[in-house]
Amino acid sequence: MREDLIKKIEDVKREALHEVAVVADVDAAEKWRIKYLGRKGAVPALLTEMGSLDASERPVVGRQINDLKNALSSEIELRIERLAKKSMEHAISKERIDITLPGRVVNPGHRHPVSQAMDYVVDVFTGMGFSVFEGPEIETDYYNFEGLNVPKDHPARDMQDTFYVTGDLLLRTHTSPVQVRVMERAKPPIFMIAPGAVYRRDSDVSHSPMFHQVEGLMVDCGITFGDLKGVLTVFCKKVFGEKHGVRFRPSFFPFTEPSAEVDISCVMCGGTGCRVCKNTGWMEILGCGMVDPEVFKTVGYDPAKITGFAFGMGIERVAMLLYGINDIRLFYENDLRFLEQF
Amino acid sequence: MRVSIDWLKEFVDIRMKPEALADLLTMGGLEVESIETQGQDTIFEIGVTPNRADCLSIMGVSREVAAFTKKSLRVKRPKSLKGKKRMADFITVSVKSPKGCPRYSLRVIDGVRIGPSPAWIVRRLVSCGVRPINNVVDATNYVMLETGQPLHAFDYRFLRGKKIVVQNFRESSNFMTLDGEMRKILPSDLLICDGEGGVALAGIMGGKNSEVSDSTTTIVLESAYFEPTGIRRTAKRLGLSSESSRRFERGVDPAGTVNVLNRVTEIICEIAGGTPTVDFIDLKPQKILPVKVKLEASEIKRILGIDIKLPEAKAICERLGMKSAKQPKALALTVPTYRPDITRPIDVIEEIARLYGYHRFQATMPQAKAAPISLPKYFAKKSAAREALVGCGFSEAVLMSFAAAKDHEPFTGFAPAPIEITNPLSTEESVMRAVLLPGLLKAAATNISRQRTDVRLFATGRVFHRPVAGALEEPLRLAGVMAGRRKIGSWDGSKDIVDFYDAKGAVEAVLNTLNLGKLAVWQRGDEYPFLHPGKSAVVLVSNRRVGFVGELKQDIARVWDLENDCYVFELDFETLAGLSLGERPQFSELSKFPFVERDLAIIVDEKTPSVEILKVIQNSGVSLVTEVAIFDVYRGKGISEGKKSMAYTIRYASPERTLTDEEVNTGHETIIRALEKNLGAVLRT
Repeated sequence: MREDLIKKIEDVKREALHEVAVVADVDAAEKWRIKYLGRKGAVPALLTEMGSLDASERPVVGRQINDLKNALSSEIELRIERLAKKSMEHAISKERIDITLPGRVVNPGHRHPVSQAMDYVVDVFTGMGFSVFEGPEIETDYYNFEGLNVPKDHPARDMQDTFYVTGDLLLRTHTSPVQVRVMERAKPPIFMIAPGAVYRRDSDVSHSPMFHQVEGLMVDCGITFGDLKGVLTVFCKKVFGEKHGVRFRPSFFPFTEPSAEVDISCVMCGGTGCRVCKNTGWMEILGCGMVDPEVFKTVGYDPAKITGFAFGMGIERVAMLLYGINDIRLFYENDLRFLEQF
Repeated sequence: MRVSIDWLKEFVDIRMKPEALADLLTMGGLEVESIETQGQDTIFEIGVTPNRADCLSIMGVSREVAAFTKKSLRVKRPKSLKGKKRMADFITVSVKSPKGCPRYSLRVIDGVRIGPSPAWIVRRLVSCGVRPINNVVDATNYVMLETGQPLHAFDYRFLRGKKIVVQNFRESSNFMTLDGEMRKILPSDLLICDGEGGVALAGIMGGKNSEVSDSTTTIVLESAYFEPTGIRRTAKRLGLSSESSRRFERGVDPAGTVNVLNRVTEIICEIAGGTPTVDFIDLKPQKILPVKVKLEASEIKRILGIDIKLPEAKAICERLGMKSAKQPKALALTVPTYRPDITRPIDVIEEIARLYGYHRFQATMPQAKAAPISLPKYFAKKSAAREALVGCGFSEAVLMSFAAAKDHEPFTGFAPAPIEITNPLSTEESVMRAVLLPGLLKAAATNISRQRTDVRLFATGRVFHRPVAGALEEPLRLAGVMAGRRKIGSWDGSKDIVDFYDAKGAVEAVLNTLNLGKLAVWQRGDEYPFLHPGKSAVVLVSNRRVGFVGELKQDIARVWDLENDCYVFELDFETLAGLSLGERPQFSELSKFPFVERDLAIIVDEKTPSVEILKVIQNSGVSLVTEVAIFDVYRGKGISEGKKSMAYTIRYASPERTLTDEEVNTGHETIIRALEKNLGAVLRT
């Protein structure tokens, strides 16, 4: 009897495993499960046959049936899992989208290139320890000119053709008045920059009646022309790249002496000479110089003790050089096709 | 200033190529802006800075070349030509305004024959951009270009009373200059007069009445030093800038008048014939002495940062024509009169640095103590607001501060009258803006006219106000405009166009980034005549009006050719940023317990604003409410006319425990009852 039952167990096992291998879908798996493991299935049927065995044989055979039950259970689970994976993969294989359609994005806007260039320049200077100050755009003649050693009827006024609001009030032609305002209030050391809009009565491809400037000032005991070269060389290389050449050449501003223009090697040709740099290989980027003793006197500093340098640059020009823009008027049209390039 | 290299070579040895010479001059402070080949000659266009009157001449540039190349200057000694007649035989001269005319030199040449100039003069003039006229005028121009000293030739026949008086008239008068223009002359203008009236506007332009013509035979040559400020004032006022005034107002050499007079006499006699007087007149009512400057050796190092030894500094100064006497640790310098820009030690230091070479200075970094930097009050806030709007799909515009006065008309009442510019470039740019929106609307219109109909633009900038009393104000504003589709560049989304809530959302994004979102109160904006009264709002924060948002009224939109619905906002950023300074987010504990949500749909009167419903819920006394979110607004089928359905999700939670169903139900019931009681709401089931 025992042998018979054991053989039956073997038969059920063989048959079940044979059939499970061809179970092809979830329905078939369920049928298979009912056939072998269901309440009326082959495995529970084996258990009922145990009653014909001796009591001493029951535990051994019982374990065998139990093992069979476990083995078949895990077998069908495995099968179902495989089937599930297969059907999932089958389903996925049909889910093909057109990956060449444009991505679905929230369309963020764009910062204006002048404003980006302004931030860039300001960041470089604040990183070097310069504070930022602002001042009024409608200025007095005093702060815009006289306080900066440009008396009335001085030919240097021709350098900056001016818009007037009244006889004494004008649209500032540079942000240098902020330097005078700050020096009037504070004692050295002063490390400052003044960003903002400025106005000159001029309009063509490279001149706009309004544009933006950053002017700077470094004043203390012991600031020299060498320091001017050092700080502004670092600035130019940070903004335009380490490999750019920087040169200083003599110039004139009424509020600085000695004065200099700073050129960087041409961003278009790299210095070999092209149409943009008029074949010189250089492009003017900023004006600077040692603060004129007259300016120190007007703000009550002792020029025998205090020295310093000042500098100024047009931000539109910086942006034009950085991004290769050839007409300053593009900045003020605010054409989105233009703005979205930056 | 156009400079011929051939001409320079008459005064200084030049062995280098033009490009090398251009580089030398540029690096020496005379920027060569362009190089042009003319036959055998090369012409430089030099940008002469306003301090260097001396370099508005061939000789001045030659002096620079000589100083830089350490060559000596060839000084020309004009041939001494003398006739028999004396000046007194022709004319008497006096200077009644010595301040305006410190030196006045004159000479008469008799028997000249007016005609065209020889080729060598014409070539030189043309190369320097001066139009040839006749031999006498050309000679005066030639010598002006060569020496920097402006000259004038009068036709002797037309000098009434045979005298010349340099003076300021006591009364205004009219005077016709050479260019045929009638000019109004004020008592402040210096005039060269004959016995009866003006014959030249001193230093600026001669008079039509005494012009040299083909029939002229006797000329009176003037070589003077006029005080720069007076010349500039007159030239500026009359808007009359000439080659002559350009030089006088920057300062010519007061010691050079007679030399130059001799030089021009020599040339005129050569090319136009004639006999000069035996003598000349040279009035010096005010002596101008050479400036003396003492330069301490230590100053060079203090300013420039490098040690240029005194002997080297002395050599440089001498190359520039200064006379020097060595003192212990200092230089006592006498500056040549042709360099009026050098009057102080710092001016000499600049010259030393220039000739030493800027490229030779070591770049150093300043010795400075670390110190915290300061930024303008609203700097960071401005950046944050800009980024918030960029995140909302707005691109940043940079606007001109100028506007047309008529651009402000629609905004009357909102903005004060704009401040006018006295000398604008055009009527379109004749005032300083008092509102940002006109500029922004113009930018939107530009885009739309270029087929870009989906527009979202914002701008920050100052507006300009003149209050009834007190100083001008320049408050910082933030404004935006939007039109077109809600989803730009989408291939599967809706084609909905933007509405009020899109614009309001952008303003809310700005308020949130400033931590002011919860403090904002919205009121109807129906008092602004430029906004649609039903689709506009005023924003208040802490009881202060900080701006508006809404649909631009169609007739206003049409002023800017905007046909589509256009939503705009303008915020007083200065005030907002100020209010924001004290606001900082405060952390609240994250709840460890789950929340429960219940939905609620009520039918209320059309006129009941959402904010009222919210208030009732919040004031219902149910403390477990943590969030109320609206998820639907419905009008139409099933809802009677004049009513709307509003649906909310209310979230209940406690920071201390998990809520029971019963608690939540009780709370929800309380809220429903409050809505029914306070707003007459009917629960939708």
